[in-house]
Amino acid sequence: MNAPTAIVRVTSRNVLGLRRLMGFGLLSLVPGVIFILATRSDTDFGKAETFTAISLAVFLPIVVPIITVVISSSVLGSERRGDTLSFLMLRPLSRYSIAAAKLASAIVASFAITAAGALLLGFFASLALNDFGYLSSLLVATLITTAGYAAVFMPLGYLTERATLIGFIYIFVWERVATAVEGLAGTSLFHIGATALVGLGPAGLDINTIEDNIGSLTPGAGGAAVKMLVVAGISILFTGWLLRTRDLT
Amino acid sequence: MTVAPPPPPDAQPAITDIPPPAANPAYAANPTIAADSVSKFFGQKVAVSSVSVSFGPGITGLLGPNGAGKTTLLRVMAGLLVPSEGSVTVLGRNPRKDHAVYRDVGLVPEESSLYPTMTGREYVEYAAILAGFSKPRLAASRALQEVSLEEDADRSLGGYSKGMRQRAKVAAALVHEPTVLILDEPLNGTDPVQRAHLIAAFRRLADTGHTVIVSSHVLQEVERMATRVVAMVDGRLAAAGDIHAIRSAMTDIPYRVTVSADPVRPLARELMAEASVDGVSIDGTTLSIQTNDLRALGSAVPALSHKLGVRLTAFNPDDESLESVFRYLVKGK
Repeated sequence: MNAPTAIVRVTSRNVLGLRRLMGFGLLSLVPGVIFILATRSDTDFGKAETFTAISLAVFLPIVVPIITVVISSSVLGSERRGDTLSFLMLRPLSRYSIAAAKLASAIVASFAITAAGALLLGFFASLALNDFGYLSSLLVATLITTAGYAAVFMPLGYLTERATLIGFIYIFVWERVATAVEGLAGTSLFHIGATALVGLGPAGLDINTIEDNIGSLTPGAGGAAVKMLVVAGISILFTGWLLRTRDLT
Repeated sequence: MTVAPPPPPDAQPAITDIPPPAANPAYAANPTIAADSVSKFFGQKVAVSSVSVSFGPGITGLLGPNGAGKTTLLRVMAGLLVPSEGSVTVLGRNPRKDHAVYRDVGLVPEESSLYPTMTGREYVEYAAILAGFSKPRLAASRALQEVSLEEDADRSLGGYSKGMRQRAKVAAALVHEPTVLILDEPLNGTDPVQRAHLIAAFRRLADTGHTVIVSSHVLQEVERMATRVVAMVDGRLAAAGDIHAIRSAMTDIPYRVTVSADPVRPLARELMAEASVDGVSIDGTTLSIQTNDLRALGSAVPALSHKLGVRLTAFNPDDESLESVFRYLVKGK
């Protein structure tokens, strides 16, 4: 096993304690359960409408960010405050490779949970609507959304103990504002994931429900992926710079 | 006499005034780590002030009372803190810029630095993997044996005693066989047997040409392993040189020791008659003894306890007193 893989393995294990795994696991599955219960006697149109609403109003903007913010902010933050970061910093590794491995850990650990929710919701929607495009598009959108939040909140967790609180304010206040005010959508991480869902999703996704929940957007999974790669790259450079230049007190 | 108290703070010499290494006991003959006029400030607080010192092969004790700046200096030298002023070189390289130097450096930090969910073996193996070992399990086993932790290696670190945790940290610092080993209070929490094991391990490393720096606020602890001592007080270098010279400089000045015994009064009465004792005060079952000869007192207390049938439960040199000793060294007589 090489050093980055070992860091990802150890970090993922540390941030995914049993209680966190159970709690967030259940939270992640809630949207899928709601879909199953709400669409038992629905028409196909109603099912597609419900899937769109649950994905864009609950799963991608609330469930995925909450899980990812909590996990990602502890990836470096808990190590710094638990005095284990010095263990890592005293190894012959570039600070940028440590930053990249830590970001990968945040994404892997968060996606391990958010993907379970995406699988449940996407799988039952695909079965109900006889189109597995619902599942694949939701999985890709979940991965992109998870990566975006992880890239922002991992370094923030290093900088401040209040990263989770800041994350919740961002999710529940700022992203609502960004959805309501035209022109601010670019500042919303969830919107980037949503464009991937709409871009990749089947034609059955309900356009009115999309506009009701996130306003107008330009669909496109490619653009969303590129944006997330840029955000991840900036995150690695910034975190690597922090590790290089700041005191480890 | 090799003790070299530096001048008072306001007359700290500029780096150009410092005599060449052979003449200044603050400098090692073949330095592997060197701090050049290093200062470290945390806001308004000066943790380390203009310290110039070097360390070479063998064991050097970094001695000083709590809050003297030892940990800060060690963390600056290990590259975990950026010096506010001055510079540090480890094996000729700057550890803040050249992280490859960590192939040759190991640090046992004072704080926990352990992952409680890991076993001791996993922890040391993790250190070996991060150091680039192709057979980390083998390297980890060797390091665990070195600190006598092999038997408990598969237990969770969260269930380790403080002494075992210290040994796990030492094993993780040793696993890549570093040329330079920096140990911040490594004997904290260890019992006498564990302490003997660790000291033997540090000596073995020193005997094979490694640089071992051990910080402690307990002189007797350092005395058992180091031949050279660097002493710090209030973030400044107080003295440096051969341990025996520093030791004898410290034995003829007032020094305070706390002794716990039961019963305490007969022991206090007998101690008052000892030439090495300047004063004794009693607080419950504890004696606070002012002495001018720590070595003589160290012999007298157990002998008198035995003679009087007194049960002796503790004999602790007082930290405050140690601080006053260092201050005394700084000022000179």
